[in-house]
Amino acid sequence: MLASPWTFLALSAGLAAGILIGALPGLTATMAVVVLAPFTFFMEAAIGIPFLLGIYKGAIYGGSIPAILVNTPGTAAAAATARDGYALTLQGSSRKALELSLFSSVVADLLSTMVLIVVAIPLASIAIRFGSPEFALLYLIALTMIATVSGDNVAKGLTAAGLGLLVACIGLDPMSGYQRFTFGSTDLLGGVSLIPLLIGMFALSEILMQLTHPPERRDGTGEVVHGGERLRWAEFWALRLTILRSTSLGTFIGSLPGLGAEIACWIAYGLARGRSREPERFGKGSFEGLAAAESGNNAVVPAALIPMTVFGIPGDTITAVLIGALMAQGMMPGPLLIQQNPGFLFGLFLVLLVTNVLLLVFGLFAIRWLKQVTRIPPAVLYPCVLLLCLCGAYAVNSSTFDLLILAFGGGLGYLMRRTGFPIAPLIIGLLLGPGFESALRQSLVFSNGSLAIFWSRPGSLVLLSLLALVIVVMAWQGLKSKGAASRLPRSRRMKSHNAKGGDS
Amino acid sequence: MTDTVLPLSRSVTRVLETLMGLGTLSVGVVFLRIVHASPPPYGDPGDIGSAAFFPGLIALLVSALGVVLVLMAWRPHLPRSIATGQTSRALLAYALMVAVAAGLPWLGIWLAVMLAVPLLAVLFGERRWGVLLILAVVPPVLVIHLFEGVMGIYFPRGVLL
Repeated sequence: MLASPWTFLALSAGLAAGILIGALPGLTATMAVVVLAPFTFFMEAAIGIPFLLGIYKGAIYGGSIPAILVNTPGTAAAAATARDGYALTLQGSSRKALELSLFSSVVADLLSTMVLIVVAIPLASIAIRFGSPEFALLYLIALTMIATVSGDNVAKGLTAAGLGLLVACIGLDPMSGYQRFTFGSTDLLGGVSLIPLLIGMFALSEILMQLTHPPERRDGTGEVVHGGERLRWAEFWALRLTILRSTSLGTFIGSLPGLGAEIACWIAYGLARGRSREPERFGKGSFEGLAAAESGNNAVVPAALIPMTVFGIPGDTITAVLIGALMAQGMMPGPLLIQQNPGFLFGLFLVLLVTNVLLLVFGLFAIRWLKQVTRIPPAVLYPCVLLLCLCGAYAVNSSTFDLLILAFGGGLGYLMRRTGFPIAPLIIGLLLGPGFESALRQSLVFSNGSLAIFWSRPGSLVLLSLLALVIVVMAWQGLKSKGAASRLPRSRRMKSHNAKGGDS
Repeated sequence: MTDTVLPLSRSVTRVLETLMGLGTLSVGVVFLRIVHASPPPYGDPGDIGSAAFFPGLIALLVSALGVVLVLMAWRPHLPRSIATGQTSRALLAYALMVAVAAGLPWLGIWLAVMLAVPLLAVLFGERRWGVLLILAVVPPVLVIHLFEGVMGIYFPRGVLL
């Protein structure tokens, strides 16, 4: 794959675009991937998918630049980075903070990619033996996890997942080919177009959210002098345990469906603070805090590809878009991808490793030159995003009906975000719907309608126990966090209104 | 552009949460009614092999969740989870988006985006004519030429061109 100069160029372009978009406050990594995904439909998979991976990795890293320089996280995943990163900038050490953020990100990304490579193939060799009951349970586990962890309210998460499954029923029945809920419209025969709906739900709703809650202007940002000393090797080496711990945590969180970089950064930050000898320095310019947050969120990126490549289940909203892009290229992620396209998959792993080297190069360049980008006013930025949304949504199928889906998605996404409904379960329900339906119905047809098929096979029994465990753990966590949330100050609870819905 | 985010009052939150629950319930009921219509359009919903089985199951689940949401909206200690904000500006922007999406086949890509881009900028608070003029011309020219020239996607020209 990398033998082609076009792949290398696409990867570099994706990485540069990702860092640039990630560095723009208000533009999320999901938005970057979803808005630029239509460009890949006109490229070969070996060029288009590396382009999207580059955007994904670049945007997650890029979010840390404005977080450190102007105390405004470019993406929700960089929220924890802002605490110590901006404190270091105020102390005149912005260059040190930016370099530490970059090096921590690259190390975490590299280690997490190694885990992906080591784990994916053995797991896929197990997954290939799965039958319909196992897949039905696997989809159910993923949907349950995503629905319960994506928002503050489990009922709202489950409702969003249910609505996603219901929307997935529109179009042709995956087993009989029967038309359902098309109301005579030929535009709905293939179901609701995924990419225009995604663009609407993530990008248009983000524009509307930015209008509803304009970003706060931070005090004193104009007086900060950027620059300072470079990071010394000894300073970085002293953080190796923090980076390793946060990377392990980020990799674990990323490999679970539904948990993304925006959660990993806070958990890694909290863990580092708990283990630190100087916890009082956290929030006041701690190197440990910055390294933990950045390695925690960047380790999620390769790890989120584990459920995608092994089971065809998206780890987060961005991998949901990647699955959509792969499907548009005629590929079905999951164990069959490894069997049918091993060259493509190994090429993808190689691309992920190469991206780390490129991230280092592009990151060093971005540290020097991207300060100006953070100053682009929303009045210029968001109209351009709207333009890209309109053109991108139309380009998918050259269909004006898709523009209506885009507008519908924008309205629905905005309504859901304003009222605290997470978007991620709806999108993932929509994506997993046809597979879940086929697996469930096939299982029940094989067993003549008996539910015993879900516990009579060893594999399905293990997965059923896992599902029960997930439900118990999530219920316990929900009860615990409810207590913790009620103890939080109101300002803190209301803070992340613009990044709700599992959006990185 | 400072903005203080405050939660809505409990009574307004309750009304909104109830409306969302009722909306969910009505979506579920509409799908259930279609699936269970007489004669059943997609086969017997109780038959595993029929195309109506899965949608019937999910519509039932969604309806039940709608009822749960309505009940949850009326619990005594409902958290004030919905924030205030400048909703009217967002609604204006949404009306603009719908108008562009629906009107693009008639207006054509050039007219639609050359109006939509500066109008959205106005909603974001931009008032300088020069900037609005640049926004109306430069991004549409660049993006449309990128799609048409590089990717070979041709947009509707509308009835005017």
